[in-house]
Formats: sequence, C-alpha cells, structure tokens
Amino acid sequence: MTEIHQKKPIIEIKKLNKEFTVGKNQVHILKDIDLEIFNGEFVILFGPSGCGKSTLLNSIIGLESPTSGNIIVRGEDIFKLEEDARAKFRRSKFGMVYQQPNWIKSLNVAENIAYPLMISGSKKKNAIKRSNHVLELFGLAEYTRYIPTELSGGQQQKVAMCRAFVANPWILIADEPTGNLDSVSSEDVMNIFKFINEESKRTILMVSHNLEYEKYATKVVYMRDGHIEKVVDRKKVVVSDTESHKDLLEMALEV
Amino acid sequence: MKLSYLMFLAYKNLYGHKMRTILTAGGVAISVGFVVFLISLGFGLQKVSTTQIANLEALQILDVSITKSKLVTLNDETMDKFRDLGNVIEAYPQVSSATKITYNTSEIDGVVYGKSTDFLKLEEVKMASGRKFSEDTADEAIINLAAQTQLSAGDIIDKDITLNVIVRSELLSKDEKSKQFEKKLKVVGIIDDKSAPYVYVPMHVFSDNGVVNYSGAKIKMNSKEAVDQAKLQVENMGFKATSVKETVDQINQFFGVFQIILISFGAIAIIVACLGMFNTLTISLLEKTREVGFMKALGTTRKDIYKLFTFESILIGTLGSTTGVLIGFLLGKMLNYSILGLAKATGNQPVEIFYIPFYMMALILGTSLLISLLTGFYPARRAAKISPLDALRYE
Repeated sequence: MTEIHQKKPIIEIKKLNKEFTVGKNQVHILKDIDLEIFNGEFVILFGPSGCGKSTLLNSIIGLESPTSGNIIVRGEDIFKLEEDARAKFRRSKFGMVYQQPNWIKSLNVAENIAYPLMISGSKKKNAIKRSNHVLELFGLAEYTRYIPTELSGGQQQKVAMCRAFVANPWILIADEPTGNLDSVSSEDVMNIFKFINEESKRTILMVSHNLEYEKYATKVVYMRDGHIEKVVDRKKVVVSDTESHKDLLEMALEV
Repeated sequence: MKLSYLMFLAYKNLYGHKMRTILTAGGVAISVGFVVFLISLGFGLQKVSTTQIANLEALQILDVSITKSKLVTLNDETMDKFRDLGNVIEAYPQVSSATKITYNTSEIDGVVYGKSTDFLKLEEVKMASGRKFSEDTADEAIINLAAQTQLSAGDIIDKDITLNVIVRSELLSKDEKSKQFEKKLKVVGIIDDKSAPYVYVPMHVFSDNGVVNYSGAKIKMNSKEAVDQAKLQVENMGFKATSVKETVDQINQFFGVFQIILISFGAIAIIVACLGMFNTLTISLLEKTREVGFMKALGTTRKDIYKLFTFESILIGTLGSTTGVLIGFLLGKMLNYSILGLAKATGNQPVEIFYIPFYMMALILGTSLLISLLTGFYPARRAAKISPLDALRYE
C-alpha cells in the first residue's frame, strides 16, 4: 500500500489467542489477533468494555502471557524471555500510563518520576535532576516535593505521564489515561500525547472507549468480542526505522 | 536497581510508617535487651562467685591429705616425689593435730597446724592483726579470732599460750604409739576467721617432738591445667587430693546450666518479638500489594522486590537488635553503679553483678540479626510473587 508496509513493524502480533478459565467456563478473550504497529504511529484501540483491549495491551508489554501466538517487539519474541528478563525488556522499551496513576506512596513526586530510571540503575542525583527537568517541561515544577496523592486527578495523571516519559522510551503505552479525568484535563493529556507523538516521533499505543479521540490517532483499531473488527489508517506515517527519537530534554532545550 | 537505592526505598517505606516501625523494632529491642540483661546477670554472678572463691593463683594449688590407711605415709620422701611430678613449682607439707589451748586460766579444745613460712605464703591467710612467723625456727604461734574469743583474751599479741598436743600414731615413726607433748609459744598474729578455734605453729614444734610424717601438703602447679593431672597422680599414690579448681569447675558447670535456663527465657521473648515482626511485615505486604504489583509492571524484577523486602526486615532487625543490646548493656551498668553506690554507703564490699563479655554481645547481635533475616524470608518471597496484573485491574 505505502512505504510503511515495506518496513519492518516495531510491534508484530501473530495469531494471538488468550483464554481464561473463570469458574467452570472457558473464556476466549483474544481470538487470533494479528496486528502490526510501525515506528511513529499513534494507535488507538477502541472497543466496548470486556472486548479484550486491555488484555491485548498487557500482552504487548509482556505482563499477560498468551495461550498461543507470538508478540515480537523490535525483533524480540518477548514471551520467549524469562520473567525477570521480560521486566528488564519492558522497562527499556516501554513507558506506561494507566487510568489510575499508582504511586509509591512513601516517595514524593520527583522520586516517583525518577523510579523508572532508578530500576535501570541510574544514579539517584542524576535521576532526580532529570525528573525535575521533565516536570518543568510539563509546567509542574512547583510540585516536585509534593506527595503525589496531594495533587488533583488531572495533575496526578500529568505526573504519571512524566514518569512514563522520563526514561525516554521507544513506545508509550496508555490504558484509558483519561478515564478518571474531566473533559478539560482529558483534552490537556491528549494534547500532550499528540505533542509527544508528533514532535518526538514516538510510537503511542492507547486503549480508549471514547470515540472522540479518533482525531488524535494515525491508526485506529476497532475491537469487539476478542477480535479485531477493522483497522483504519487515518494518516500515512513516514518515520524511518533508524531515525532516532528526540529526547524530551533536548526538545525542551530547543523550545 | 542499585543496592543503595533499594536501601533508600526500604528506609522510606519504614519512615512512612514511623509508629509501626518503632513498635516492631521496639518489640525486638525489648526482647534482645532482656536476653542481654539475663545473660549479663548469669555471667556476672558466675564471675562474682568464682573470683570470691579463688584468685588465679589459688586455682593452681592442689591440697593433699592422708587417708585413714596406715600403709601410706606422707613424709619428706613423699614430698620429694611430689616435687618430681612435673609442672610443680613448689610443694610444702603440713601437720595437724588435736590440742588443748591454754591462756591464763582459760583452756579450750582446738586444732593445731604445723606449717612452714613458705606454706603460709601458698595458703592465702587473711590476717586480722599482727604478723606471720618471723622464721621457721621461731617459737611463735598465730591463732584465729574464734580462739581469741573463746579464750576470752583481749590483746593477746606478744603474750604466751600453752599447747597440749595429742599426736596420733600415724604421724610418728613406725613403732611409736600416740603421745602427748606440751609447748609454750608466743602469739604474733590473729587470723580473720571466726569459724572454730585453731592455732598455726612453725613446723619445728612437731618435728622436735618426734613427728616424722605429715598429715597433708600443698602443691603449687605452674598452670591451672596441670592441676587435674597432678590430682590423679597424687590419688594413685594413695592420698586424697582436692583443689579449688574443682569447686570452681563445679560452679562453672552450675552456671552453664543456669545460663541455658536464662537463654531459654530470652529465646521465648525473641520468638514473640519475631512473630510480631513477621505479622507486621505480612500485613504491610497486604497493604502494598497494588504498589508492589505496579512496581513490577514498571519493570522492577522479582529479585529486586525480594531484596527490597529483605532490606526492610534487616533494617527493623538492625534497629531493634542494636538498641536492644545497648539497652541490656546499659541497664546492667546502671544497676552495677547503684549497687556500688549502695555498697559504699553501707560499707560493704562492692560487687559487679552484671557482666557480659564483648564476644557474647556480638553473638547475641549476630543471632538476632540472623533471626530477623529469616523472619523476612517468607514475606519477601510472597512479595516477589505478586502479580503486576492484580495491581492494574480496577478495584
């Protein structure tokens, strides 16, 4: 179709099946999912609750092991890795934002943002410095030393995004990131995602049930009852596979 | 994750629950302090009793006495054999006999001991007043407080007493029968002992009157360890042998058992504290299921989560154990000082009832750290197994 499809996808899902046993019933939550995601795309997974979109997302980041099928991220078949190796792979490739921000309650805002850097073994001083830069970029500098739960829902979600961006990941995963927010905060958060996608050429994979967000996406995947109904390419995305992502901090310096 | 950061996280978690941490560590501290206190008491009492009984030199001395058997006699020849036993520094004989002691008009029954001046050096005699014999040939005597009282003698020093000594046949040469002799001696010293009346006289008092055998001897060995062997050898020669070391060994044995009882009491306290700590760790884990799950979702490895929880228990354990050891140690010291003050005020001899060797404190500290590490093992393993998906599901 276009030049995108001649390139190698960064995420490749092949014949993915997932079954749960709930009581005596076998629930087939994902049925033969095939999906390719390319560098620089903003993909939104739409679908009613229970259609399996969150399960698909958790499979992609290596948390939910599939019953059958493969998930290949940047050439690595992630479920061939051991659990701890998968955890390391996850933290090096993905940034994650969820409906609930999930804080480490004993740490302040900057320390929470620094956490993904710390797991990879950064120096604490450097990690905190970088967290503060990211907070500055999002206009949240004054909240550095707050306890996250002292902030409003919208602010918390922005801080959660700072945490997802801080390690400068290749792919951003977002599961209903605006689910708990009012319309103004939601708009804010979506615009940040759009900015990140367009300016820093990062791939975004988002789950939502709000069809209004279609306008932000370059590719929309509609799901129902565990299978993909249709995939719509809204925009051709041309980002070469070798093109490096811009670091948020470099962007901040350019602004 | 870096070790320092894991420590920081563990510290933050504990700091965020100050009250809980203090109570848990406090439980550990109290139980460890209790153990240190009990063990100090055990060691202290042991030290007091053994030092009261004997100083180091007394432990090297073997006391020999003759048995009822007339076949074996203790004479100068035997003394030479004793001296040749090996590891012997010196060996001195003594003679004892029943006697009547007369002073002015009063007369009492007592025991007379014939001793050389060297013998008196080995035997630690505590003098109430006066001095010991000037030389082995002097016509001098030392009596004890009991004798002085019973003789109703006031200032008896430099005054003469008369002894009427009954000599048993075994002290005399083969064919002689038991006999009696009288001797006038000048009192030069009084021994601080109120038990039963006795007199010390120089050995020549006996030898001048035909006594050729001795009734006992003291042998000084060059080490405590040599005493046991020498005792066996002397017993094989047909004599009775006793040493202070035996008594001290028995006391030590008793305190060994006493310590075990004290340690078991302490162990119960430590077990209770550990159950408390286990409870706290498990409950705090339940509270943190979501948090830990999310940390794993962000890419924290199982290993790191395991380490994190282990550090928390180590921190609580270290905090509790060190405080505990300090508390126990200081409590003992404080009581020692109060006893010292009390003894000074009442004019008694001060004793240190609480004493703990450094290695014992280190041992208790090490053990309680090890126990807290073991206590943290199960909660840490459970934490490492928490599923990240549980955290991501809606409540």
